[in-house]
Amino acid sequence: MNDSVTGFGIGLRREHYSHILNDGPVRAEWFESISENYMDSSGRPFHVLEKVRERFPVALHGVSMSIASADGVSEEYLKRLKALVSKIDPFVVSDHLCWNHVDNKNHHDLLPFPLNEESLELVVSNVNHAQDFLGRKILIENVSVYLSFPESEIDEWDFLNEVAERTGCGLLLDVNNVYVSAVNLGFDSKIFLDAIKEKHIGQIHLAGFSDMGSFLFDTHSRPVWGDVWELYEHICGKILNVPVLIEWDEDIPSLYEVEDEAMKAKQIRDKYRNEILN
Amino acid sequence: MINTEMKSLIEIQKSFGKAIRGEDPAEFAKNIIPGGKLDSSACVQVYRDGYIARLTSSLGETYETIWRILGDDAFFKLAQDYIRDHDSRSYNLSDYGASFPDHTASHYAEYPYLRSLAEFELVFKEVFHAEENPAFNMAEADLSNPEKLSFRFTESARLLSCEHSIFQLWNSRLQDDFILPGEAELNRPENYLLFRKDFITYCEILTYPEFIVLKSLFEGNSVETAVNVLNDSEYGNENIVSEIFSKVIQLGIVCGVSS
Repeated sequence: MNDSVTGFGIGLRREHYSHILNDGPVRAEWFESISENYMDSSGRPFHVLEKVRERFPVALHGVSMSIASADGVSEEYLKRLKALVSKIDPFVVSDHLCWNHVDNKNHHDLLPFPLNEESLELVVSNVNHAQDFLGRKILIENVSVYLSFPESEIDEWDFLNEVAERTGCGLLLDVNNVYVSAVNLGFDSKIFLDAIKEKHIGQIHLAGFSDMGSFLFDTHSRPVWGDVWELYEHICGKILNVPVLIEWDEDIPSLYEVEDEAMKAKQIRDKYRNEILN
Repeated sequence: MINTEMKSLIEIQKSFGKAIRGEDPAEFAKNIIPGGKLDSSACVQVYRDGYIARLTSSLGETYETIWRILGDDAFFKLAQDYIRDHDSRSYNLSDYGASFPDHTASHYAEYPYLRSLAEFELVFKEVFHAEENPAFNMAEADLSNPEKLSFRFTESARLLSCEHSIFQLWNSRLQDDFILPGEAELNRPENYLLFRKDFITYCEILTYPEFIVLKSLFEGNSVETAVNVLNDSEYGNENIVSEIFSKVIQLGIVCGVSS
């Protein structure tokens, strides 16, 4: 993992390809790409990613490593991811603390699982295997959840810290996901955020959810909500040199609008830094 | 009421997976603590709806003209039936739906052109994502015995023979004045060479003689064999072979030549 990228990035989305490739003005300092979109393709999207990489640092963010799958991580998946990593040289490789495949069937979702000793041992084993195979540290992201399990015995924040401690992986702390899960499951977001050890935080995600009335739904389809900005400000002290990303995956607006969110994140952190240091 | 029997991780994941795929969701719902103000069934439905939405979106992205023709309701129904019967076996969502053309044909037997259209869209996707190999410089080829030559074609080139003329229909899929051609126009075979060059995907409509010659060459046969295949057919005409030879070189889809 390259520690030199500390600024503010946005997701690389096809809606913005033309602007970026035509050397349009870009305020974002780096881009995040979904690994699976490029692992099996040599078409135009991969060509665009290579072109973007010539100008900007790129983070590769996966959704299918299935690090908590009882069936283990797919060797074919790791092989293809490793090939992509060697072509793109990302400053971060990340995925999620979740599972999505069982019995050779893939569900294409970030599925929760009970947090207990059994799953902790499994996740530690899978993360170690993935890092050994890839030859590098990875970051693991907390996901938004809509249910929990009676089998859970460990709080998610302790689980994440323990995985990081035992494997040397980093954490991709998604502040929006913390908030969504906290509201849905009824815990205090700040307890979660305060408990995550600063030394493990490798990246921050911010995004906008949808309020469905009966639950919060992690849609990444709108600006960051006010409550999430407050939480972000709450943890600024321990993320002063951590890259921050604005995630916007659905109903994607113009590049400028997404960048405005990134610049807002920058302003909040700069203000915190100036007030503390001065 | 939550079932208090503690389950292992693999049991939970198998049960969760089944619930998402629509197999006995009630059993899984008994063993969870729902979030928000959802009850257990509604909670499981959130994940199930997401699964169907993502797979439907993937099918829609590949088969966008089928979607356009059928409209939202019919396409979503067709997709849901397909998803019910076909699990996703790949981590790559865009791999999903290889047998969707057959599924479409079985549900819309009265519109047989839909299968041809779906097959075309599947091949188009393959070409879009395939590797584009650099074109071979013919100046480096030994042309002293041209009939002995065989070719290696770029991975981003595919041949497709359809029972229906669907290219114009596909090509107008994004137009506001999208009009379905008549049966007479659709019920004619059409053959295609799809290829990608400099990240743009093209489609050449081939005559049947051109198609059978190219098919033989794509299979790795020599020019001589391809000529024989053509001569054995009702379309025997050696001039076509030299025309095709020039065409494939001009299109830049030959990436290797051997003799």
